Amino acid sequence: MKKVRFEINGEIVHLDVETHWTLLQVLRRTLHLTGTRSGCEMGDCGACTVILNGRACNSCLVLAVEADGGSIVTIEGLARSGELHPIQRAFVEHGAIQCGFCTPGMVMAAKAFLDKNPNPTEDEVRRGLAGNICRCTGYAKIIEALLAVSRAMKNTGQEGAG
Amino acid sequence: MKKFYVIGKRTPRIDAMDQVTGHARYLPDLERPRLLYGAIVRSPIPHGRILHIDTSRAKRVTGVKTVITSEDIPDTRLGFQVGLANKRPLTSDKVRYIGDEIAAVAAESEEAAREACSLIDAELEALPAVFDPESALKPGAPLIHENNPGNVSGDVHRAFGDVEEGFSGSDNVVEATYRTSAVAHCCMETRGALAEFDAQGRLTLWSTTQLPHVLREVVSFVLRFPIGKIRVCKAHIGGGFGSRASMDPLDCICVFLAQKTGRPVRLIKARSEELVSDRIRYPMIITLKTGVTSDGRLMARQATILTDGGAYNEQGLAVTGRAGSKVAHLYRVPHAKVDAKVVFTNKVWGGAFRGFGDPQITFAIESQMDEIAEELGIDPLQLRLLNANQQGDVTVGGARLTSCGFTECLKRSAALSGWKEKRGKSKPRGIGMAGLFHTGAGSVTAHGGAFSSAFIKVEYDGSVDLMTGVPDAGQGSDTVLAQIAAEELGVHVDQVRVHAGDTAITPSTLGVRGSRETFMAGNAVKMAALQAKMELIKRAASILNVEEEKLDSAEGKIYVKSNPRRFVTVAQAAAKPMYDYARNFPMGVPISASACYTDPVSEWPDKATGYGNISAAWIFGAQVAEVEVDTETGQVTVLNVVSAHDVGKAINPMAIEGQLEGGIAQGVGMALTESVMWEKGNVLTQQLADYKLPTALDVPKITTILVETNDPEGPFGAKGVGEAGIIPTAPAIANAIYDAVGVRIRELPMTPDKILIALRKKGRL
Repeated sequence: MKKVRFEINGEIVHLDVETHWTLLQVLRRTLHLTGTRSGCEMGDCGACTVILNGRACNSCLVLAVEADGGSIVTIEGLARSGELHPIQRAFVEHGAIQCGFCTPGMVMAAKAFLDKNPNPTEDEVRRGLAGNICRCTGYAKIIEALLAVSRAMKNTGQEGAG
Repeated sequence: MKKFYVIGKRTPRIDAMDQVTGHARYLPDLERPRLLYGAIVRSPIPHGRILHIDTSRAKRVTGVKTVITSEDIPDTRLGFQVGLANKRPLTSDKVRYIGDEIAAVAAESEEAAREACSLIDAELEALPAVFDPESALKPGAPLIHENNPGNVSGDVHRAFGDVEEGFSGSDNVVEATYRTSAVAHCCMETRGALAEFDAQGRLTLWSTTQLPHVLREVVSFVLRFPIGKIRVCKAHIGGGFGSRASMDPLDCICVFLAQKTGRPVRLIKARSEELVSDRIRYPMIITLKTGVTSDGRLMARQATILTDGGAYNEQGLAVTGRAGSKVAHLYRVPHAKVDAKVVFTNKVWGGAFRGFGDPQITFAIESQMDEIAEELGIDPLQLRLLNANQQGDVTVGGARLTSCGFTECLKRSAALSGWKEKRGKSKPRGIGMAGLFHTGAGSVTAHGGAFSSAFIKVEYDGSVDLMTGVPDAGQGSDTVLAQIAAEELGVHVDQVRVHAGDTAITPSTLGVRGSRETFMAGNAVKMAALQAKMELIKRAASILNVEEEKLDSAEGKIYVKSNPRRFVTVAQAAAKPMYDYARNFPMGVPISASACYTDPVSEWPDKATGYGNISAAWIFGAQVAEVEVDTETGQVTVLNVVSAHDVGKAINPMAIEGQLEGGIAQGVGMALTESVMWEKGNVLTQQLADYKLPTALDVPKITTILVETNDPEGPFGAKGVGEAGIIPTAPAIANAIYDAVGVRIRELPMTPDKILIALRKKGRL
């Protein structure tokens, strides 16, 4: 066991973890943050995407000890005091969700992407989401949702979706 | 025309908040006190005799609670069709594919369970194996099931009209062989189950199933355990596409482990385990022959189909039969004949997959339509329009077309895609088209397919509980059924709570299969809602002191039709029973309704010929794909897809578009990249890095057109469209490739190597 310290969704946590545990395992098993899904455990599907130190990552490919001292945002940390993040709201309104299993990872990847590129073209959105597989939607409504968020941000003069 | 308040609206999923915030609980998120973790030991060889299984080392692993083999379970077989079932959950005599279940473990942790699995010593005597259906049929081929000589699982024969007469009356006859690949469902959530017994010996089984009531029957049969002691229910389900409408040993193994240990057990497939051992789309070799007059009228169609069934029976005969029947349905054709065989091989076995055989046969039929058009010198669109099925038709196979927008779908998809302007121009770009004909109301032929039931309860605050046996695996049935209930009752959608797919509280229903939920479950929900509405109106009439006929309900109010400002709310009408005494209502009688819808349209097919109208409604569509082919690399890029679909009535246009877009994306995968690959029975595509699912970069821009034909029997005119999107995509792309570079690819997936080889051959000719 090794002691680690994370900031998760704005809260500081101290944990004892085995050195071979992945960040995904610690999020799901130890912290019961089950919104982060396990789809392949090989970094192929993106269902386990979280934001670590401002960057989207596959939490199945990061050892918990590697994330020591880091700041992590999971899907549970995205809505603020009951208010959905604009990306979450757009996913709901545009029908960008079917089975929903890929949704948290997709939303986190989308957030990291829009934070860096708030005004993307459709092609850039497609490239930005290429690491996240959705078997249900054909991506059409996910892309539509992201472009709508980007347009709304531009109209309100917001830099980044918060 | 009646004004709709809920129907036709782009309504977000009723569980979208749970899904988008991470609150939704899927099977891997379920915890129980004292939960054990299960794991399965699988065969490392494709065919062999089991001589001995030594579990002693595995049992000594710390934390291991039980290790079971076939000796610990009843001698029963599982499968969707009990009469054909030949798979023991843990195999006893022989292993028949790499991945065959031979033992299982339950332990205190996943790690201990996996370690124990690696310490089980199975002594196997290897037998010669056979990996493709053509070799399996050859004399002297290794025999996979002793009861099935020649490795034949079964035959399907259909004959409608007289094909010989049809061919002799034809001016041209076109014949070719088409091959489809083994496509994996790849639900983002892998298959899982959690089983727990209570102190009375009653079982609760949480499962990723699409068919809770059927699974209850199968578990009862396989465990020799009374149905009354089994509750099958679900968590959120992360995708289905038919894989969860097919049986897998996992559920029963999970229950055996729970029974043996007396503790709850959760068993979930790892991704690689799923890609090795879970159901796939049945690969087919289809030889298709079509006779046609010189002016383009179809005269006869004949197919022979060889289906690779894999190691065990599941739904190979049903899928092959359904594919075969399309030879007689898709386009007007007066004579049709099908002869098909399903053959065992030493590979993972197939199951239901979105379209149930239609994507396979449609690849053959619609590729051949373009080949015929070429031979006759007719525009492929004109050939299709000339032969398109029409409302009122009865096909030679017996399908009665009570609503049919096929022609409109063909015309509108062609117009919007720029068919005329693009066809035959700007190489190496090309444009191609394909149509579809599919069940829009499920099929009568399986497990009570001709009926569906629903319960409804109206609470005294005006909110509604809807109980349906149909689980939502992502396709959106919870939302569509809530919309139907809300419209009929006259309440808002967000007042409807849906309780789905739990055998303890929902009426028995087939489940999610054959695009049946909207039509069959929708009609049942509509009937139950109407009953509840009549009771609400009765009570409202008494409060308002008007006659019942003068009342109607909408948006949470029951109002006087001639003066809508005179109303009571649904909540007032359904008022709390203890207050109702003063108003002289029977105290304590809540408003509830139950209904069973039996469709009056469908019928069992004739046993000998297969003739019959097996679905209460049929759906149609036409898809146009535009591609660009890189003649240096053979790479095909799909630029866009325009897809027009006869949906009956769009209850939720946003959900329908989503179903079609998702289906088309799966169709692009099936067309270009997706295939389970084997080497001597060993699956090479064991990870999603190797099994190529389409990403956001691979799926083109998709435009959908919804054509409303208002089916006379559908709820509010609706038909089911969950499977439609995928059916014509591969042939539309194949036809577009031909338009682009002049090569006809008749084998899926159409990978760059096949395109390059074809281009080289063409260059030589």
